[in-house]
Amino acid sequence: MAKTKQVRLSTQERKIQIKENILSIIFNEGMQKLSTRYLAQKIGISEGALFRHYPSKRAMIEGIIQDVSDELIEELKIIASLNEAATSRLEKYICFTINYLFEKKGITLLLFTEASYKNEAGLKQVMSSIYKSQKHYFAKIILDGIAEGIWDENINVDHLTSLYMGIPVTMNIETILHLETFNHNEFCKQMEYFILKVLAK
Amino acid sequence: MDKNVITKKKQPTAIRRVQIKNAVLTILTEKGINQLSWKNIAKECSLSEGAIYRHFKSQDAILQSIIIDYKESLLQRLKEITLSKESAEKRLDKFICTQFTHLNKNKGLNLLIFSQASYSNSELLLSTLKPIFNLQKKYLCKIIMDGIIEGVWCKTISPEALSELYMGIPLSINIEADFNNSQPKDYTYCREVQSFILKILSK
Repeated sequence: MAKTKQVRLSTQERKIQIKENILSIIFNEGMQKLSTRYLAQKIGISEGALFRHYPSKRAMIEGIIQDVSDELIEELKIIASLNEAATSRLEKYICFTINYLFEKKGITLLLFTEASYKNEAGLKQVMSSIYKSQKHYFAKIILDGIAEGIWDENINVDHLTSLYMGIPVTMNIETILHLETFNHNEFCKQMEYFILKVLAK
Repeated sequence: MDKNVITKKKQPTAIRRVQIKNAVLTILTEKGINQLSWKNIAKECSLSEGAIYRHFKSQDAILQSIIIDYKESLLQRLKEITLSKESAEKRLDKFICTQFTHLNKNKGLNLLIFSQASYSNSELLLSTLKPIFNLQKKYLCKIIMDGIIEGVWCKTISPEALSELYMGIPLSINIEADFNNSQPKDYTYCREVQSFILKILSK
């Protein structure tokens, strides 16, 4: 047969490829465009092959959300518990989050459009727990810094945490509306500087 | 014309359009965006799907019209605040509190529409939303710059970056309220946000 044989990827590689393509469709073309047919076509495999890796579209989405728990939340937990000064942990925390979400554009969009679209309790619960974990570890670093005596003890930690949680959301909007001019390294430095200024005594 | 034949009073276009938009708003805020369909809109405003179609050719067109109303009511007010002759600090105070009050009244409508715009990657909606975000940022930047020029605020602060930080706050409040199934944080939170922004701006 003249047809060239497609390189066979391992299950693991194939799953990663599927998830990457989903995020790319979400970010560049919109969630509405996301069908298994279109996804299969984009990757260049059959829908049947797609379903060998994931039984449904829902399972693919859950796979991506699981990655966020394993890759982002787990790492943030580690950063928050490092045996380092609060200032250094804060810097790592903010920059890791921003870099992760910038690398995986489409994640934030997936997380909050799915949340507002699907009133599915299970999915919403996982997403709510991702959100709350991010808040929780951030608050831990702030409280540690206050205990170290370096930050203002009169700060309302809960409110500052809500302010912080706006950062990934605003970044998402900036990348959708002005991707060409958005510089995530600069953005990260600026946000860190602002948070530190709020915390200063 | 035989008046008895007319069972339903014909309303002028402007009134009908408002009725349709209100029906969409009710669905969005009370039932959720996934319930937005021609059928549900028709049911909500007691019109036929065909009658709605005469006023709006697509659901995006209804949402676009809602965004434009939003733009006219909130952005006009924010513009007046920005351009008034008061001190930068006073204007910042009014700016933040006007926006938060508006947000509470509209139950995160903007976020819903943004979700819809990104969900469908709708050019129409995204191009309508873009100038709204940009204008809000622009006004806030102007107030910050004025304060820096007045000499009351720190001149090394980037007004653009600070405006970006600020723009995320109303959105994260909505997301959180959505997760907790509760009302967004109340009026006192706007004071807290203001005190954070002022601290960042302090010399």
